[in-house]
Formats: sequence, C-alpha cells, structure tokens
Amino acid sequence: MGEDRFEIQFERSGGLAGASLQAKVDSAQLPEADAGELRRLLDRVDLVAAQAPPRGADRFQYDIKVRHGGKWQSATAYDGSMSPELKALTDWLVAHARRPKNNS
Amino acid sequence: MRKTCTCFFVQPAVLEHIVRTGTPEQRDIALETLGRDHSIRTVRLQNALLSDFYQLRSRSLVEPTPGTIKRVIFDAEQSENAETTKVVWNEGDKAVADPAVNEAADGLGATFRLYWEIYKRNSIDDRGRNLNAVVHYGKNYDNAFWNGSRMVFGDGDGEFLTRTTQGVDVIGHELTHAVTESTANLAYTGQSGALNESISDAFGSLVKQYAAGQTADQADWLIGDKIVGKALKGKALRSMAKPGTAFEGDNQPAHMDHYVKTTADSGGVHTNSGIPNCAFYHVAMAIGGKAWEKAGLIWYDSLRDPRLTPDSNFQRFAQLTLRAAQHHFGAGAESKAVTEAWKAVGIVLT
Repeated sequence: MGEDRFEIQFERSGGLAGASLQAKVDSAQLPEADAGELRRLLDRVDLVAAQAPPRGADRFQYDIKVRHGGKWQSATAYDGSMSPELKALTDWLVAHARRPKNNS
Repeated sequence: MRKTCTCFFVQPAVLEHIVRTGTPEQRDIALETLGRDHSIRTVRLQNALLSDFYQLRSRSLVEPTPGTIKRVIFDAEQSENAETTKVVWNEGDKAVADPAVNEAADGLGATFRLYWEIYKRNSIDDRGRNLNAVVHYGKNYDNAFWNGSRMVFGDGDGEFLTRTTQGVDVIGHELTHAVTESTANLAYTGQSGALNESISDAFGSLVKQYAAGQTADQADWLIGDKIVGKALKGKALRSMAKPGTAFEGDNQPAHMDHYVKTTADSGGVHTNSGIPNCAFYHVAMAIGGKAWEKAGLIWYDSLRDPRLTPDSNFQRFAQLTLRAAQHHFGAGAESKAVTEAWKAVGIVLT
C-alpha cells in the first residue's frame, strides 16, 4: 500500500441521545473494494474547510481525523451544515462503525 | 408689544413665510399661531393613534385568541429535507393512519398545554407561533432535533432508537429548545449548552408528568424511555434521578466534581446536563406534589429572567432559581429545597 495508506479516527457525538459512536479505520486492513471506495470519498472532501454549527439543538457532531503520508488532518462538522461530499463520507463511516467488528 | 392673537385659519406655510419675512410684530403673532397650530396637530395625531389602537384591538378579535394551538405536521418521506413542504396533518384534522403523525400532533399538543395552562406561555415564542414538525426524517435516522424553525423526528434504526415521536418527553424536550431560544438563548456549548439541554429535559419530563397527571414521586424521571432500542442496552436515554445509569455507557455526572471536559457533543452538552437535571429532580422531590406547580415554575421563571444570558453557567442559573423561589414562596421550605438540591450536586448558593 505504501503512500496510499491512510488511517481515520472518527466519532459521531451529540444528537438527542448524546451517545458516542466511534470508529478507527486503517486502509491497509480494509477489503480492497472498501478501501477504494473510502479513498474516493476522501478525495472529494475538503477537510480543512471549517463547518460552523447550524442553528438549533440536538444535531449530530462529527469529528474526523485523517492520517495520510504521515500528516494528520482533522475536521469537525454538524448535521445540517455539511457539504454533500462530507455527508457521503460521514454516512460511510457511520455505517462502518455500526458494522460488526472484524476489519477495523 | 404683543397683541392678543386673533385666530385665523392660516396655512402653516403662510405663517412660516411671515415668521421669516414679516415685521417683529407680525412675526410674534405668526409664531404664537404656529405653536397653537402645532399643539392642535398633536392632539389630532394622538386621537388618530387612539382610534388606530381601538381598530387594532377590534382587528385582533378575529385573530386567534391567545392559547389557540396551531400545529402543522410535514412528512420528509425518509429524505433529509427538513424544509419539506409536504403537509400530512393540519390543526383540526382527524387522526391519520400513520402513527408517527398522530404521535407528533399529540406530543406537540401536550407540550403546548403545559406551557399555556400552567405558565400562560402562548406557544414556544409566547406570541402564538405555529408548531411545525417534520416526521420520517432520513432513513433509519437515530435522532430528533430542533433546526431553528421546526421539530424534526427520525424513525430510528429500530436497534438503538425506535420511532422518536413515541416519546412525549422527547417532543417536549425538542419544543423546549425553541422556548429557550426565544428566552435566555443559552449558547449551545459547554456549561450554557448543558444548561440548555437540562432545561429541555426538565420540561420534557414535566410534559410527560403533566399529561399523565403524576406527582413527583410517581414520575419515572427518565428521558426517552419510550424510544430506546435493544442495542442501547438500557431503560432510557437519561435518568434525571440517577444520572449515569440510564444505559450501558451513560457517562452523565451527578456532581460538579465529575464534570466532563470534552470537545465532543458541543463540549459535552448531553453529558454535563446530568448535573442540573439532578438538581431539578431533588427540588421537585423535596417540595413534593406535582412538579410543574412549584419546581417547574421556579425553573420557568429563571429561564425567563433577563439576568440569564446566553453565556450563563450553572452557578448563575442556580442563583436565579433561588431568587425565583424566594420571590414566589418566601424563605421557606421551597427556597431551602432549592439551596439543598444545588448543594447536593456541588453548587453552593449565597
């Protein structure tokens, strides 16, 4: 994998329940199809762009840290004020966090 | 020398012309006439305003009288579009086949009733605002939230959360976020955010208790007990009586010594709310009877106190609850209950 390898630390918090949902992902340990899909999702997002919290209360908060090529990048985002690309990434990570643990 | 003014109906423009160009004598007369003219105009203006006032009053007779509920339920049809325009239920409609719609309408109604019948609050903004709710938001969406204009309800995934409209306390919780927004507008971060959350839990629980006619000792003091799924491994989302015991992994503190510092969840707003939640529970239990009558009134008045500002912390709110208790009930058992309840969670009042 080499330089293509990436790691993600993900947490969804907040929401009415306030329950935390977490995942750690290492591309080297993902099935190839999943790693490819996740890489495509990552390529499309701009993690640096700040996401201001939207109005209201009880929204989900997403904290995403990505390590690629020895560098960490991080972003905090909220339901209701995310770009469609970032939404697609968080949807994937939520589904991954929910999956029975065998590949993370 | 001034002469007694003989009154003519002269146009103000002509009088002004005389003031500017006339002899000193003419000028005096013109000025005096202008002054009187001005005062007459003032009286006329006042009369006009008064008559407008009466018209406005009679006009308001055809508007909804205060305390008239107006609910609209929208269906997001499993999209994540909270601004959907698809209306599935309007005020006055009969129950429909979709239970989420009926539950939302009933929950909004129960919340409206508590605020109006007990606190004389005319809807969430105290000005009779419509209550708009969206059901079936998202696919298996494990959340309900207030988006600044609508109450939005997900169906849950059935494992962690079930259909969120099933909890009348959940609906009361979300609507109370709107009440807080139009009163103290507590910032949704850190302690002010946890206070915001706690106020939603307190009134969410009161909505449930009021609807069931329960006294404080009969109430379960749980939040979301009707919407937890098996995977959450617990009886509710939160326990106000025993914070930190609602489900496996519930890390709510019940004392300032265990305040959780975190950047997740807007600074732990759903976690540290356990501290004021527990204080409210203690106040209600110590006073006894129906919690909305005294404990709820003390909390409601504190929420509306102008000294409660967006950046207020627990200490500020606690102090205001004591003032409110003293104002309503003097220095007796109620005030003592408030002081003791905050002391039990690590907040000392002066």
